Amino acid sequence: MKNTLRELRVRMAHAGFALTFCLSPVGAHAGEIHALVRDKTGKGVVDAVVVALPANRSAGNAGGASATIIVDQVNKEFIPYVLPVQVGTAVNFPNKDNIRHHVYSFSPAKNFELPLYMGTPASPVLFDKPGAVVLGCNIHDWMIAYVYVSDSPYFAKTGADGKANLTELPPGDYTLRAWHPRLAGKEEATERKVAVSRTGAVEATWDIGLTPEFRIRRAPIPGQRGY
Amino acid sequence: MATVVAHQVIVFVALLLIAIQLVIFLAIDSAVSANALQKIREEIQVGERIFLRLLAGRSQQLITAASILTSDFAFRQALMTGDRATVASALNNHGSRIGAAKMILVALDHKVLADASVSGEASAESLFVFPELVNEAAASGNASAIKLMDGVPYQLVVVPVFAPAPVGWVVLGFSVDARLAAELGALTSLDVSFATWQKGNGWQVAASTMSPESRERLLGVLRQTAPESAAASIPDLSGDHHVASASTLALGPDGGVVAVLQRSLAEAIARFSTLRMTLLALAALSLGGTIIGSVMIARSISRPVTALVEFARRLERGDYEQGPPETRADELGELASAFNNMRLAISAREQQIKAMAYHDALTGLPNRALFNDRLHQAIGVARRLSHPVSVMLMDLNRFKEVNDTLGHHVGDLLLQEVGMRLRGALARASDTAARLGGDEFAVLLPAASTDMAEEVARKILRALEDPVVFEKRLLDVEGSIGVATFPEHGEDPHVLMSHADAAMYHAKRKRLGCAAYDAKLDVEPEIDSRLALSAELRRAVENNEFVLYYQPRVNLANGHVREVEALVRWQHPDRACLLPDEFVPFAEQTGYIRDITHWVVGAAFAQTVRWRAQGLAIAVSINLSVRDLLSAGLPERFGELLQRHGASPDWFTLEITESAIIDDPERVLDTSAQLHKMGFSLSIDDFGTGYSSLALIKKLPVGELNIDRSFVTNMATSPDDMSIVRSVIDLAHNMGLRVVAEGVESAPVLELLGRMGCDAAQGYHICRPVPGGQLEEWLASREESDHQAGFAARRSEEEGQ
Repeated sequence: MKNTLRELRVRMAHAGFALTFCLSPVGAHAGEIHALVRDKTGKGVVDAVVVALPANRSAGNAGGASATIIVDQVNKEFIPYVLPVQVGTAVNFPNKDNIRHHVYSFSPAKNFELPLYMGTPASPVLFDKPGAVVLGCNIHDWMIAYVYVSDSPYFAKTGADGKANLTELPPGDYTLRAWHPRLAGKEEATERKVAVSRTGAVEATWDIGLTPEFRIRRAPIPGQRGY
Repeated sequence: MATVVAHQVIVFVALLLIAIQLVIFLAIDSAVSANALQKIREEIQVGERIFLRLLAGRSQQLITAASILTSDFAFRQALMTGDRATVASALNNHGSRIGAAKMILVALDHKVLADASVSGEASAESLFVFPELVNEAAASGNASAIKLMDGVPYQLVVVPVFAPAPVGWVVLGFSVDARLAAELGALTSLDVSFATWQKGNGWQVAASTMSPESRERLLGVLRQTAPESAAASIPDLSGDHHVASASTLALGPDGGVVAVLQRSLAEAIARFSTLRMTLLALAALSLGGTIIGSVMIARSISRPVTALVEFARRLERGDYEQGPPETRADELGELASAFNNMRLAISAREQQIKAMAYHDALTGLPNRALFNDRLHQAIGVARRLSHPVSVMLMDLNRFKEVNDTLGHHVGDLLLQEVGMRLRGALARASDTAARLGGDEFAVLLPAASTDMAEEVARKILRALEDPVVFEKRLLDVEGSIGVATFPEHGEDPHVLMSHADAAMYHAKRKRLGCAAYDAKLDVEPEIDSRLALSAELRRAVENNEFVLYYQPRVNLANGHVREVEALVRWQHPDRACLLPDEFVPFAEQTGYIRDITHWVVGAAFAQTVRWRAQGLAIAVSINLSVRDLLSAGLPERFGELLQRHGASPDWFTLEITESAIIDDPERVLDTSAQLHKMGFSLSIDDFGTGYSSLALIKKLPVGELNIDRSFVTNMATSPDDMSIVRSVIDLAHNMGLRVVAEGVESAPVLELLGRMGCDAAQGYHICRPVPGGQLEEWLASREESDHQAGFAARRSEEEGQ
C-alpha cells in the first residue's frame, strides 16, 4: 500500500518577507540581545520568535501596544506567516484577494472566527492572552499563519539567517525563550536566563529541533492531490 | 455361423468405436481439465492482482474519506473543544458517516485522546497500539494497514487532523468482514476469505464467501502452516478441491491476517461439464447409432446368408423344388441367383444321372439295376399277396451277325426297334420291359402266371415277326424267350432269373421261340457245386492236373493205326478222373477252356514230337471248343506252340464241333480258313447232331467228317442209324471228305463200317483212350500181331470183338 500512497513531499519553504520589528519603549539606558536560532543542522531558522521575559514583570510596558497590526491575506496566503504581538494587541485580517476567506483559530490563546468575508473586517481581533495562536482559513486548508502573543514586550522574529535582535531592553534579568511553529518540544524547554546590562549585547543561540512541515503553505495546483 | 459373423462384426465395430470415443473423450477431458486448471490458475493470479489493487484502492478511498472527514470544520471545532465526551461523540458521528467501525483520536504524542468504540471515558492517556502506523502517517501524511484488534481484522487508516496545524491523528478502522469479502469476491470472481492468526488462538476464518464446509477445509489447510509461510504454502496445500493463492495482509508476532483467494475446481470444471455431457451424449448417440446400424447391416448380411445356408442344406438333402428365399440386387442376390442356377443344373444333372443309372441310354428302357429293383419289389408284393410274378429273358438270335456284318450302328438301331416293339407288346402299365445288356432283354410281369407270361411272350415274338427296315434293307429279327415264374420256379430273384436264362437257352437251342422253365432243363450242376468247380478248375489249370489220353483210330482200308484222337482227362485230386463232358461245358462258360485248350494243344504237340522222334508217324486229332474258335488270336497261339515244340501242322487234325459252326459260322469260317492255311487239317466233329447246312460245310476247308457216336454205336441194330451213317459216308465221299466213325463198340459195327467204305473208325471196341505211354505199348503189341496174322484175319478178328 505504501507504494500506492502518494508520498507527501515536504518542502521547506521560507517566506522571504521582511521582518517586522517590535518597537520597544526607548529608554536612556537600554541593552540588546542578539539571538540566533539554528536548527539541528546549524542552519538559521527563519520565522522563529525569540522572547525575553523580564524577571521583574512590572518592568515591562504592559499597555504599550495599541497600534493595530494586520495579517494580510494575499494570493490565498497569510502574510506574514508568523506574527509576534504583545498581549492586548488587536490584529486586523484584511482580505486582499478577490475571493472570500474564513479565518479561524481554535488556539486556546485566542479562539475566534471571521466567517466568510471580503475586504477588511469591521473590527480587528484583540489578542488578549499570551500563547501561540494558529490561524487557518476554513476555505483554504493550506493557509496557515501564527500569531505569537507574548506577555513581554520584548520579542523579535528571526530573519532568513536565523538572527533576531532584541533591543532597547532595560537592564536586568530576563528569561529568554525561542519559539517556532514547528518547534519540537515545549517552548519552556528553550528558556534560559540572561542578564542584560545597560550597554552591550547579550548573545543567545538556540539549536532547536523542528518537526517536519506537513503541508505546503501554498495553493495546490488543480489536479494534483495532496495537502 | 452367419450369426457369429454378425456378432463379430457388431462387437468389433462397437469395441472400436468405444475405444475411439474413449480416447477422444479422455483427450478432450484431459485437455479441458488441464485448460480449466490453467484457466483457474490464471484467474487466481489475475484475481489476486485485482484483489490487492482493490484493497489498495480501498485504503486510498478510505484515506480520502477520512481526510475529508478530518477536514470538516465542525468536526475540528468539536475536537478542539477539548471535551473528551464531545470529541468522542464527534468522532463517532463523523466516523459513522463513512462507515468506520473504529474511530480513535490519537494525539501527536501517540496518546489516545478519544476512542469512539469505547463507551464512556477512555482509559486515560493510553498509548495507541500501532505507533508505527502513526509514524508512517507522520512521514507520509497518512497511513493505512490491516490490523487485528481484539482478534478482529480491521483496515485502519490514519490521517492527520489539522487545526490548521497538525493537532493529532484520527484512526478509522473499517471491518474486514463478510461484506468486504463478498464485495471483493464479486469483483474478482473468486472465493475470498480473510483468515486471522493469533498467538495462542491459532487460525480463524474471519470472513469468507465460501460455504462452512469449505471454510473448515481451508481452516484445515491453514492449520498445517505457520503464519509466515501461509501465503507461500497455501497454493500447494489447497488440494484437489480448490486452486488458491494467499496474501499476507498483516503479520506480527502476536497475530496476522491472510487473505486467501480460492477458486473451486469443481465449479470451474463444472463449466466444462456441459461440454463433457455433450461429448458423452454424442459418444453414446454415435455408439448406439453404430451398434444399431451394424446390427442392421449384419442382419441384412446374416439373414440372407442363413437363408442361403438353409437353401444349400435343402440341396444337400436332395430337395431341388424350392429356389433361394429372396432375391436382392446386391452380391448376396448374385450369390443366391448363382445358387439357384446351381440348383437347377444339379437337379437337371441328377435327373440325367438317375435316368442313366436306371435306364438304358440306347433304348430308353429300364436297365438291369432298375429291373432288379422292380423285380425285388414285385416279389415282395407277390409274397404278401400270394400272387405269381413272371420274368422273361429274351435274346435276339443272330444279333451278333447283324452287328458284325452291318455294323454297330445298325445293331443299335435294331436294338432300339426291338425295345420299342417290346414295350408296345406290353399291355399293362405295371409290366416292365428292360434291356439288360447287349441283345438281352427282360420283361417283368407282376401278378402273371406262367401261362399268361407265355402268352405275352408269344405276343412279343409276333411283334418281332415283321421285318425291320434299315436303309431299304429288310432285317429279320428273331428272339428266344425264357419264362420263369415266382414262386414255382424259384422264390429268389437270382434263382428266378437264372431259371429264365436256362429256359431261354433251351428255347434258343431248340428253336422254340419261347420256353418256360422246367426243372428237367437244369442239367447243370447246382450253383454251389458249379462255384466250387470253378475254383477247382482254376486250380487245375494252375496245377496242371490235366492229362491227355489218346484213342487210336483204325484205318479201315488197311487196318493200320496211324491216327489217334487226343482226349483230355482231369485227374481231380479228390474225385475220379473226369471226362471232358463233365467239365468242358463249364470250362467253356467260365472261360477256362482257353487255358485248357492251350494246354491240350501244347501237350499233344509235345507228345507228337516225341513220337515222331521215336519213329512213330502218328497223326493226332485235337478237339477245339466253340469258344476256342470264337476267340481271336487262336491261329497265332497255335503257331507259337508249333514253333515252341518244333511240330509240323500237317501232323494234326483240328476237330470242330458242328454246333460250333452254326453258332457263329462267319467267325468259325474265318478261323478255320486261317488254321487251314497254316497247314492244319480240319474235321467236323459230332457230325449229325447240329443243324449245319451242307452249304456251310462246303465253305469250310475241312477234309474229314466224324460221324457222331449216337448214330454209330447202335447202327448194327438200328436200320435208321445205319442208313444215316451210310448216307453220311456217301455224302462225305461225294464232297471229297474222309469219314471217321466214332463210338465203335462192337465188331459188327466195325464190319458194317468197313463195308460201307468208311475211312476210319474209333471206339472202345478198338481201344479205349489210353495215356501216351500205354498207346506206344498198344501200338507195339498190335504191330506184332499184325505180323503174326494177315491183314484180313486181323480184320475179321477185330470185327468179331
